[in-house]
Amino acid sequence: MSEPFLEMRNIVKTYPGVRAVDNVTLSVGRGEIRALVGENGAGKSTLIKILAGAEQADAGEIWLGGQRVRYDSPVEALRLGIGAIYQEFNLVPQLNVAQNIMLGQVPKKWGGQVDTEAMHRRAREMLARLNVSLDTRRLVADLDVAQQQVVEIAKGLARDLRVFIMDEPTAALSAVETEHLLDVVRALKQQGVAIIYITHRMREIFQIADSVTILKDGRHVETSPARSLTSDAIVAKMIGRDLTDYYPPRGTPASEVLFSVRDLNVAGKLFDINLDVRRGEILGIAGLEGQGQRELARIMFGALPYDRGTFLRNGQPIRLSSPSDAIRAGIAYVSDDRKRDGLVLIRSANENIALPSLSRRTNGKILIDEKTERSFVHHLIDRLAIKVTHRSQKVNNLSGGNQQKIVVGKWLGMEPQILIVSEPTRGIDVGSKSEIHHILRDLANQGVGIVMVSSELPEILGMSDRILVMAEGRIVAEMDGATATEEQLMAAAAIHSVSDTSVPVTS
Amino acid sequence: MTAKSVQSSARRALLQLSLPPAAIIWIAVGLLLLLARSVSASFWELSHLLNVARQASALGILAIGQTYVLITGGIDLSNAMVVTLVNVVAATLLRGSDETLGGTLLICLGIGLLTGLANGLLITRLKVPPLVVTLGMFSILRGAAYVYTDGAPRGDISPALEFVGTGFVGPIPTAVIFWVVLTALAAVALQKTVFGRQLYAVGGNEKASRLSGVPADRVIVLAYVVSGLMAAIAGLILSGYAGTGTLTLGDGRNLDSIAAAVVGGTSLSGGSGSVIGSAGGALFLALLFSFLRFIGLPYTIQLMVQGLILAVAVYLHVRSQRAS
Repeated sequence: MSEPFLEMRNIVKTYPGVRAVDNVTLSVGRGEIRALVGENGAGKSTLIKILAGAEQADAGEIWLGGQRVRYDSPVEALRLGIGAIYQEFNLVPQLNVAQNIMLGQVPKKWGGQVDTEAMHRRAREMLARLNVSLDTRRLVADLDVAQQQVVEIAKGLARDLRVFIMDEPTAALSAVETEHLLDVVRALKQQGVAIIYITHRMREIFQIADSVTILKDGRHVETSPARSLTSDAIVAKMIGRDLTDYYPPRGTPASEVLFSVRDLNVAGKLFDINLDVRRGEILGIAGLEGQGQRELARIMFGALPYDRGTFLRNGQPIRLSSPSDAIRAGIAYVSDDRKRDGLVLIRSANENIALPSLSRRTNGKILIDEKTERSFVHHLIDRLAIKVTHRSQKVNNLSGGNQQKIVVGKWLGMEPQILIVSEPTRGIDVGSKSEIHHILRDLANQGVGIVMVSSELPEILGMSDRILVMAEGRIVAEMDGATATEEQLMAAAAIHSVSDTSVPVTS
Repeated sequence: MTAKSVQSSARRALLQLSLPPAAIIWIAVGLLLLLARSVSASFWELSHLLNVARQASALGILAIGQTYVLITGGIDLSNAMVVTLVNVVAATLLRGSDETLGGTLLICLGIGLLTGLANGLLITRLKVPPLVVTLGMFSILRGAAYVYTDGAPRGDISPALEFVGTGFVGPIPTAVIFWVVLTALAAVALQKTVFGRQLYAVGGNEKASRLSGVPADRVIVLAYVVSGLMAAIAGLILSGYAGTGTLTLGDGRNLDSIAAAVVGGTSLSGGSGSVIGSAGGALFLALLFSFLRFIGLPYTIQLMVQGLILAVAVYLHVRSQRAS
């Protein structure tokens, strides 16, 4: 390994209630490719955001070429030659490809006019280095995800970076495009660029990385040469954690199937999805983030269109073209984004809880019966132990955990037979998390069929009666919840993620 | 309990006693009345105050519909031209007699209903912003009024409508009775019906409402229909007051109705508001104008004062939102 060029020393970053990065030290040399791995929530994203200037560390130092550097914005980081490409693209959809690639460094003619010709020429050069032919005049809004990823990478290339951070750059790329990208990364290495490469794909690590840094729960676990590691060893070190969280005991699901999905397809997103939800079971849907789980959950609630597929409710085909269809069939959905999809934040707890069941409870009468509504809402507030000063309290003043309970509560009022929950405990404190878990298990014990999408492995393993693993829009494995292990899940989720060729991990 | 703890719990109680925006405007109405009385006792006479209320009633009825639309997060600029079109159509059809009253009323309410329906459908189906749709509808209706009258409105309003616009039931102006009844109905619909709850929910978070099974498009269309109908009723009352057809009867009333709603605590960003507050807003503006006229300020200054009041009201509203 070469001389350290970039050093991050004792970096600490705390968010309310969680220490996202805990005293991490990391050094990368010129021309070194460093793979950064860890579970969701291990601190990778926070760490690279700090390095790229998008977040500020609470403590710690960054050194570049033997000098301490300080900056507090991405622009200043870029000036130092430190740049990142993220999973979420930072592209301007209304601008064309060349304008995006050259954003912030537009070539000018005498007098300050944009040199359009030079801009397109330079953009084409960057794309050529990636072996991609893409019309630089096209609007980014019209590109598909893989093309957008290519533009994002070209944008990074155009900046002549000394430290190049790549956050899952191949997540949206095909096998061929991935190969081109890896070639470009190797070329950057030859030019002496220090590269930090985040990926969940073991295969890529062994293809290009010189060294691997493993993070877990915000802490540095190990940095070793890639040669000295195997994929099994990396996975074990990434997860090696006790299931200390207390999960409620599993129930005894019935064999009766409440709801089925048959041959569901969405072009480019979901392929041949088949699943059954049984009475009283919690069906966990696991996988890395962005493998189509979220879309699947929304389609099962009628909230997203699909290309092909059928749905069976108690064996009978049903239509699911709107949330109302789903609600009528006894299906409820708790979104992963409660503020956007789940709550009317400026209205009261009472109104939010009452909303989905309003028409059903008034039962054709014109006026809402305040008395029955009050007892209905109080009953749910008590049942879920929602902490409000009064039922008329506005929802945006409540904690994340209480907000999530209100979302669950408003659906319980509908007495659903099938409850689809997506990341049910994202961003809420440990106590509420456990309460939500118990509520879900209670519901299952009462006969509700629960589909739980989660990218948190402990949650999947602790809660599920049965687990389906998704990767790249397919269900790639089914496991028994009581016996599955993190290693099996990670292996199933990761192996298949090299396009559709299913190349086994080199170990 | 020690004196200190009594004091602190009293303070806590005071802090928690946050007045709803609708109550604040009615307090402002009361303060304005006290101010007016200190300037002149004759302003305080019941007949004068009832006259002010009569002047406020058409604005108040327009503000009911505007409030519904604002709660959805939309805006209705077309209501002013519904007033004008209803006015010229009514004058032409009635020609000063009650003979064709029934048909005329139906046609006028139909104009309001269809305008609201068109607004609502264009907004929900074609996803055109409400500001653009209702501004366009404003122009279309204005053009229609000119085409219909050839630029020279004819005819007179009938006795029955004149009674609605200028008459009294006992001491109470007929128009005020219409206003109070419509406000009461609209308030009940907003607070106690499924539609009212869904209106607030859609305005507060349309996406979450749809995902809760709320028929958001239908709710939004209905809000614009209510606004169109209220505009037609206001147009008939104003026609009764004006007595003839005129092409300027609706001018400026769209912005006035927005002002009344906003002064009454309705948010321009949707999800909150009340018709009781808007009624207070309409009364407040009418009182203010009457008072400013009373002390001899010219109309131009009145307009500037109205603008200032509106800005202050929005500022106070935004600040209280931030505090909560």
